[in-house]
Amino acid sequence: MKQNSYAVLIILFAVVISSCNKEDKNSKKLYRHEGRWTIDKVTIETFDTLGKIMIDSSIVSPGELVMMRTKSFNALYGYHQAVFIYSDTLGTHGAPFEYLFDGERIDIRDCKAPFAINGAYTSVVDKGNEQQWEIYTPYTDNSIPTSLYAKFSMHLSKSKN
Amino acid sequence: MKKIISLSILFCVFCINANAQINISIGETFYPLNAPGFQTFFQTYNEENATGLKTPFKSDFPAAKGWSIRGGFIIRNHDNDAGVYYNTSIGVNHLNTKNEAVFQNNEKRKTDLQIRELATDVSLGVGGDNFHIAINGTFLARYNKLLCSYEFSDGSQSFGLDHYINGVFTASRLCAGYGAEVGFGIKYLQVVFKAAKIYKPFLEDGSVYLNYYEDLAMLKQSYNGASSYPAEYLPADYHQFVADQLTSESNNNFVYINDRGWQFGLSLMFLIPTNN
Repeated sequence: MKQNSYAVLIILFAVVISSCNKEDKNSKKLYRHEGRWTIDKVTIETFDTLGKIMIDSSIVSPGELVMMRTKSFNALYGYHQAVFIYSDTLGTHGAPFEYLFDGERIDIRDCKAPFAINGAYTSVVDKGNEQQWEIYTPYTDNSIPTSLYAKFSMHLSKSKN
Repeated sequence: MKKIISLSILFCVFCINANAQINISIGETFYPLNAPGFQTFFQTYNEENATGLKTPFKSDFPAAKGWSIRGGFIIRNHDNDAGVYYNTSIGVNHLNTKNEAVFQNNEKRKTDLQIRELATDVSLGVGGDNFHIAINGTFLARYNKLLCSYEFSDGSQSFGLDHYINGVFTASRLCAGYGAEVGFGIKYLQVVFKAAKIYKPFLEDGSVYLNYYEDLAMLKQSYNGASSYPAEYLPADYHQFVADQLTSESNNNFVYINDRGWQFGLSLMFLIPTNN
């Protein structure tokens, strides 16, 4: 009986000690996203003051994101390196950027691609092979005086190659 | 840290050899918050948006509820005669509470407070196999996380920079408390009810050590807005924040972790004998 108690004691301490190491929890979540992600589509919805959708459009397969474990210039603040790969009439290009993931938000910054992906996104779907990020930006359109916000939703899936 | 763990292990070995029993308890925890900083924030936010709000914030967070799990040692009489009862345990509490304001167009300002505590308890009293009553002291390392988001009328939730007080604000501090517990049960299974008054945390006047609710992500600092920008700290007086953000910040107009009150727990305690 006493041996059983020592075993329980050891398990208890192992649980307590392992639960103390929370400092890199977000990094673990973040590194789960490491790899190549295809941007399946970007949907754009514009809302009026009552929340009614005024414009609904989408961009299909605008490119890929390669998320890396390598820390970036702002590593102190949790930023990591990534590349946005896109194609145009001149060929395929890679635009480096840095990103931060804190469990709720993904901040993308310093991306010089013509297709603007910079911004602080809210993580809506966060799975091993599927992600969805959303961002709201103020929207003005002279033809739609009541429009307030445009919602960009980026749908990503893990590339198989 | 190594010293604390070594001393804890020595203490546990002592307990085993002193005819103690290992206990593991799982239960519900209930914590009616009294958080002055949040009360100011909710009140001033309601006043600032009085015309636009359909349902304002409640004056304070409703009581936080959640689960707790603990493990530790008990020394007590193993018959129906009352004797010395001593219990020491360590565990975690996991509580949540929410408050939200709804605007006329059904958009919502949401605040979701998550309270995570690493707790150690020491109880001393009288009891036997079937009953005990004791006074207890508790020491908590508390980590609070406030998810402050905006829900648009299509139901999507944003933590982004579209609204200045969106964010993930965190704060932590050490607290202590005292209270009492009572337990009933059979030999190896007890139902325990605990109540502890979490007294004002150390340096509660805020003059020396303040731990504000802060958004630690750099994304807010990188925002190059002109006259106003997303809040790095959760403002306490929302009027002041809206009127002049720079003055608000220089006045340290922030919510700091300062909740206190009674904490209640109802748990099921399983006892594992160490000696026959």
